Parts: sequence; structure tokens; C-alpha cells
Amino acid sequence: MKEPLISIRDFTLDYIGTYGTVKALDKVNLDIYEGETLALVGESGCGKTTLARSIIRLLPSNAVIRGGHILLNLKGKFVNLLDLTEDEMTKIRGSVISMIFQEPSAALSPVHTIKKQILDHYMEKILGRGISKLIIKRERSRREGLKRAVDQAIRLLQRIRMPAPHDVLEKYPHELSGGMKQRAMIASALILRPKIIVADEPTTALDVTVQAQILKLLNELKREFKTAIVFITHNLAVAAEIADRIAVMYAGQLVEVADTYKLFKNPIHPYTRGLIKSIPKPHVDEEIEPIPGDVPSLVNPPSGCRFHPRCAYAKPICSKLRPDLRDVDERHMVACHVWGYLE
Amino acid sequence: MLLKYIIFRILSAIPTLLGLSILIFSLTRLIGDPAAIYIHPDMTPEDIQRVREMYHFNDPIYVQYIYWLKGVLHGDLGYSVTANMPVMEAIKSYLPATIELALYAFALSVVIGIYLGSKAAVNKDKPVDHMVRIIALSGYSMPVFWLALMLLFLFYRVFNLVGPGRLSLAIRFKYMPPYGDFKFYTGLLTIDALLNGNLEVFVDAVKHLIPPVLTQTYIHLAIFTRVLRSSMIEEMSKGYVDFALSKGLSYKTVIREYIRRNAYIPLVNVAGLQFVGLVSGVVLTETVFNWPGLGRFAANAAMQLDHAAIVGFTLFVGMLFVIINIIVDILQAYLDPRIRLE
Amino acid sequence: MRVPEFMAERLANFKELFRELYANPLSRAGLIMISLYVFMAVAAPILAPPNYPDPFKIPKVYSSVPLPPSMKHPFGTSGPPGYYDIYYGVIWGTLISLRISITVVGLALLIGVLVGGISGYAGGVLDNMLMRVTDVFLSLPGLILALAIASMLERSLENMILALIAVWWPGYARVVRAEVLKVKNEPYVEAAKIIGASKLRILFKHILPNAIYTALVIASMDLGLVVLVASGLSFLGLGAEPGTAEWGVMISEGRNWLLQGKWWPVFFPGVAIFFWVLGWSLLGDGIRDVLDPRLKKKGVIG
Repeated sequence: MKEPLISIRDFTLDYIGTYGTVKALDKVNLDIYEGETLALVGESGCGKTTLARSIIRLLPSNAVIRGGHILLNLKGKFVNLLDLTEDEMTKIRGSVISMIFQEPSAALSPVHTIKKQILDHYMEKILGRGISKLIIKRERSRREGLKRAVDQAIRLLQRIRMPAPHDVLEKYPHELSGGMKQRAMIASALILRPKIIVADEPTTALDVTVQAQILKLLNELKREFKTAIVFITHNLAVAAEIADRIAVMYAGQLVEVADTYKLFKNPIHPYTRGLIKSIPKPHVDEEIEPIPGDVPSLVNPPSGCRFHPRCAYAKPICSKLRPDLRDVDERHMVACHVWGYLE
Repeated sequence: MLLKYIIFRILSAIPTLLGLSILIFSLTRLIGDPAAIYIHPDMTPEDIQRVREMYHFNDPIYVQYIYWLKGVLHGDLGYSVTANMPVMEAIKSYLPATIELALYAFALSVVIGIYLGSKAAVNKDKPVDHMVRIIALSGYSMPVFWLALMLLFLFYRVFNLVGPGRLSLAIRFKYMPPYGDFKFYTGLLTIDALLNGNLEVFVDAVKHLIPPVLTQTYIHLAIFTRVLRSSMIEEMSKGYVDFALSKGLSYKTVIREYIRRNAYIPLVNVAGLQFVGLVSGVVLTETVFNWPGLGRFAANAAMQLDHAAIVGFTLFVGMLFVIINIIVDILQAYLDPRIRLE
Repeated sequence: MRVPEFMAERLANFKELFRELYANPLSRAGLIMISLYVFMAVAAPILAPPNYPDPFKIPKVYSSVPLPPSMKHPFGTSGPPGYYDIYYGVIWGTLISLRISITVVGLALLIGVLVGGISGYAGGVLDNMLMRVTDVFLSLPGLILALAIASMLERSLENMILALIAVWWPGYARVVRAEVLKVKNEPYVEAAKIIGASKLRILFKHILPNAIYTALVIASMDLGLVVLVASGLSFLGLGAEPGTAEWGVMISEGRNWLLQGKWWPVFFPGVAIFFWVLGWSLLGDGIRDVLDPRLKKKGVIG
């Protein structure tokens, strides 16, 4: 098996809040491979967004990293992203790791054109200066550079099937539809050909039909651009549609990681099974079975395996010792004392 | 379309201007003898009678309004007994001094206010922030005329730097007509001094500008600082900041390009109001520094019950306000493309 | 958004409100300042034995020039006419300031709430017309309009108060109207309509109580600002008579002594005004933060 692009080991993170410390992530271990689409699935508050943002290191100021490392495979050399300075991280963002967001209307600045928002990082990194600087000398080369950048953007927008790309570039975000805004954001994330894109629920805010379009688009793009995508979603169906592998998280712990097909065919962790059973299936004559209990507070999380209070199979060891992720099958890992050790 | 918005905006101001004229008109009818506005000290009884007829004072009130309005539109605002000239002329002659003061104070308060507000927002809750907020708070709570008096005391009495008025007597006797041949182009002494190539006048004018400009600036930068700070803080938590950062732009760049630009929008609104607020402050400041501008003219008129002048001044300020509001709205539409569509 | 109801709930727990106001250092400072002023006003007869027959006319101290601060005259003396004790003026000036601010804000609020409420509720032509009127009033800076009105009337403290009320009410009308427009469509108003409550009853019992909170917050800060403008008017000679214990007028009298090096006639009344405005601003901001911390911070502290 080839080496992973991103290697997360024992990653632990807390949020310091006014009501106590939220233990958001607990010793997470995860590998992400080049070109694959990994879906991070879980309910609100499970830590999927926190984990994804840790990769690109866009965390709020009250986030404290308690341990672990996130290794990035840069041309054979492994770099711990957590050790980099902010300046070094700035170089990585946009060009190696980029991100697309859930609400395109909130993510785009209302007073800047699409052109500026797609191209400003491109201009700064490739051409070496900000798009709004006025430097008289080398004016012509700057103009040429700008023209080349715009061409790049247009070509990319055409690939993403944005209608009338030339016009769109000159428009402002409020003049575009939700789907178009999302495409613009995707273009912006792709323009520097990053190795990995963190996608934070990019389709949740869109209409269902538009959602389907965007998902299809992402499927095509990942094949063509060979970009890895970390796709955050709380919707298993969407995950099934787009992911090669799915990682299931619960209350800050990673409970199961498997190839998509394997996960649905043979879900092992009790939480995963509960999750799949919770999906409404109108065409099947089955009663819906919700998981009993509530998502725990992460200020005082349950000890050991954080799912144990709601688990029908819990054993004494589950509350005492945190289960590690173990291989249970090829490309199928589970963190569970009871089920994770099937042979 | 920006143009359509501009036209629409100008048209919608007309009812307000009309209403303003009605308000001012009713003010003129509050006093004992409204005709006093038009009366010269050296008019004969026949002249006075003619004035009464010209403005139809014997006719019902709405007819009076029409004729008053007609007069106003022709520039006839009555006669000022304190200035000994028609009100319109008085306004014209006193305006440049006020503009010079207001312009510098406004520019300074905007620039310093933006700088301070930005610094405070970026360093929220740190000592810098607290210092800036205290400065802003004190500027807001201080009575303008008191600050003016204190500064006058400091500059004149304590440091012996400069006295009231626009120029020192020495300079005035040296260069100003009828003693010298200083030419006035704009009425702004600083500009005109440069245009005349006269460095002495320039320096003297600047020296005299410092205390009143300082007074006005301190009071007004309070509001700009406050607005920019709160607006930047609000913008800093917006989604586009994260997006911009995720593209690999440095935080400095994001502040400069994105946050500031978005934060300016409410500032323009406030700036417009502030400019007219400057006019109110100017009344008090000019009085203290004996600055020969519109403010002092109005204050004197108020103290000596020169009704024509008061009315004329008020009308002028009201019009200015409406015009500034239109400009502000247009500027906002330019800055914030979302407004243009409405 | 349930902002008005949220505020109503908060206001009901007075004690808790008070405690929170005390907790925030800035609003605590405001609270202390205002309490000091209130104390000064209430204890005035003890702190500075009143002058008969009118305690608001400062008693004369005869000397040829203003005396600097001393044990006998803590803030010094000033004049003309006659020469009077500044300390006395500052203390009794508190009462005058209280009177001016409460009268102006109270009446302006009353008028503004009525006009804004009716305008917002009735809508249509009446609304349009009333808003045009307020627009016109708001198209002039407060000081200027007050100046114009006050100069048309006979010079007195009462007329200045009248002029200030005329200047201040349109602001409240606008704010209340905006809130009424929002509250008008709330479910509980619909419910009242369905039950068959009369329009007047709906307006006064349901809509207005919820629409006035923003205006109340602004009013608390205005209690400070009114004195700022009033003192400016008095300074220009349009308010209280010279010799009255009013801070603005005292400063105008002290003005001429300033250039002769006697700073105290101007300094102390000015400081009184400064802390008055500061205190109310801090308190008003604190009240707003406490009533609804989610409201955008656009105030002095914010």
C-alpha cells in the first residue's frame, strides 16, 4: 500500500470555553491517501469539522492542541503541520491544502468581485504580488500575468460547468445563485491544484437538485485533478455517493473507517450500525430504529469508549479503556472492544 | 445600475427639502414681526411698507410662504443686522473660514479614527484596545466648548503659542488687504497662501488652525474610532475571513483587503452624519476661538436675536445636510454593490 | 426574532439586572458616577446651604477678581455679575441638569412613542406623512435646530427645554416606529386581533410595551447627551440666565477670565458636564448590553 498523503496520529484537541473545557478530539488516528475521497461522517458536535480544520489549521483561538501530530507527505518528506509557523502554514494553504465551506454566501465577501476572490491567492502566490497593488514598473508583465490568471480561471470555470464564465468573473456574489457561488468557491479552491481539499458540508446548504450537480461535479473533478477530498457530512447518503472511504466519528472519537461499500455491506461498530439504521427508507417496510440516549456533553465525556452509555453491547472494559482502531478486514478498521476483534 | 440609483436618490430628496423649507418658514413666523427679517436699519417707513407688500405680509399664510420660498430660491434670505449685509452675502463671506476648519478637522478625524479603530479591533481586549476606547469615550462625553476653552487656555496662556482668530495681527497688517496684496482664490488661507507663494502666511494660518482643528478632531474621531472598531470586529467573525485565510492569504492581507473594505461601509454612513455634526460643533468652537466663520456668525446672531441670520443659517445647514446625505447614499451604493439593485 | 420579549423578561428581574450592571467594570463606573450625582442633587441643601429665595441663583461673594480654589471656596469663585462660589454652582447645577434631562427625555420619549407607535401601526398615508415630518426635523443637527427655536422664543430655561424636546422627539419616533413595524407581525399580536381586541388596545397593551426597549436604551444615554447640548445652548446665551447654577452658563461667564489665567471658573463646571455625560453613556451602554447582549454593539463602548 502506498504511503498516505496525510497521517494523523493520536491527535487530541480541546476547546477552552466559559463553561468548561470541551474535549473535542480524543486521540484520533487517521490516514488520508492521495486522490481518494474520504468522507468524515457523524452527528453535530462529533468533531468532524474540528478534525478537518485541524488539517488546514484554521482553528479558533480557544482551541488547544493537547497532543499528537498531523504529518503531510510533501514529495516523500513528512512534515508535521502542527510544527509549522503561521507563515509557513500560509504558504501551504491554498496551494497544497485548500478548503470549501458550507455556506457559499457567507464565505464570499459581498463587496468583492468573483474574479478577485478566485484569483487573489493565485496572483499572490504565482505572480508574487497582491492583485490590488499598484506597481508601476513591470506594469506590462503584471498585466500579462493578470491576463494569464484570468484565462486560467475561465478555463477552470468552464471545466466546472459554470455558465458564462466571462460574465461571472465580473459579477458580485449576491448576483449568483447558490450553485454558482459554490462552483466559484470550488474554482477558487482548485486553481492552484492542491493535493487535498477539505470540504466542510459543501452541499448541505444547497437545494437537492443542485446538490446532486455539485456532487457529480466533485466526482469528475477528483478523477481529473487527482485531488484528495476530505468530505465532511452528517448525511450518510451523500457520503455513500461521493466517498471512496468513510470515517465515522462519535463524540470526538474515530469509531470506524472502511471502504464505502464495505461499510454499508458490513457495518461493525454499534454506532455505525445505529446510524445506518437511522436512515429513513421509505421504500422498505421497516420501522425506524433510533439510537437510544443523547449525544454526551464533551465537557465531561464518558470515560473509555465514549459510546458505551448508549451501547447495547457494552461491557465493563468499555467504560475503562479506550478501544484502539484495529484492522478487522482489508481496508476496514473498527475501534470497539466487543466487535472490533472479530476474526 | 448606479446611475438610476443616483437619480432616484436625488428625486426623493425633494420632498424633504420642501418640508425643511416649511419648517423654517414656520420658525420665521414664530417671532413677533416676521417682516423684521427683511428690514434694513436704514429703511424709511415707506421702504418698510414696500417690503410688506413685496412679501405679501398682509396676505394669508400660504401666500406668504410662496413668496418667502421664491425669495429664498433667488438667494434672498433677508438682511442680517449683526453682519450689516444681506444674509446670503454674510453666509458667502463667512463660509470659507468654516470650510477650512471643518475640512481639516474632518479629514484628520477620519484618518486617525480609522487608524485607531483598526488597531483597536485587531488587538481586541488588549491594552491598546482599552486605551483607544478610553480616548474615544472621553472625546464623546466632552463638551466641545469646554475642550475648546481648555485648549485656548493651554495654547494662548500657558504655552504662549497662538491666540484666537485666523491670523496674528502682525501678519495681517503685513500682507492682508488693504495693507498688503494677498490674493484670495479659495478663501482657505492655507491653500491661498501656497498659491500666493507666501510661506509666512501659510505658517501663521496653520498655527492658528491647530487649536480649533484639534478640538474638533478630538471630539469627532471618537465616533469614527468607535464605528470602525465595532464594524471591523463584526466583520472579523464573518465567514469570508475563514475562506480568505484558507486560500493561503496572510492575516495581514486579509485584514487589509477584505475586512477593512467591508468595514468601511457603515463608516461612510456615519461620516456623512459627522460632517454635519461638525457644523454644530463649529458653532461653539468658532465662538471660543473667535474664528470668523459661519459658526461664530450664527452664535452671535443667536445671542443678539438676529432672526434673519439665524433662519438663513439654519436653512443653509439643513440644505447642506440633505445634500451630504445624498452624497453619502451614493457613495455607499458605490462601495456596497448590494445596494444598487434596490 | 424574539428580541423584545427577551428584553421584557430581562427587565422583570430587576435585581439580577442590577447585579449584572455592577459586574461589568465600565457600567459599574457609570453607575457610581450617576449615583454620586444623584446624591449630590438630593443632598444639595446640606452640601451647599441654599440661597434664598431662589436656590438656583448662586449667592454672591464679593471680591474684585475670581478667587482660586481654597478651603472656603473649594472650586474657587467666578463672575460677573457679582462673584459667586463655583462649588455652590456645581452642586445645585446637578439638580438643574437632572431637571433638564428628565424633562426633555421624558416628554420627547412620550411624544416620540405616541407618534412612532401610531405611525407604525396605522401605516399608509398617515405613516408616510408623519415620517416625512420626522425626516425634516432630523435633517438638521440637534444643536442648530434647538438654537433656531430657542432664539425665536424668549430667552429662558423653560424655553430651552421646549426647544430641546422639539429637537429630540423625532429620533424616538423613528426608532419606535421601526420596532412597531417588526412587532406588528408577531404571533401574539395576531392572536389579539383574532380575539377581537380593539385596535387601540392592541397598540397600547401589546405592541408598544414591546417596541419601546430600544428607545429606552437610547433614552438612558440621552439623559447624558441632553445636558451636553443644553449646556452648549446656555453657553451661547440661549438658556439659563447668567448667575443661575447651570453648568453651561457658568462656563460662559468664566470664559473671559480664562485668558487672564483664571482657569477654575471654566474648568470645574466642564468637568461636571464631562462626568455626567460619561456616566450616563456608560450606564446606558451597560443597560443595553445587559438587556440583550446579542444586540450589535454600536455604542460608546462597542
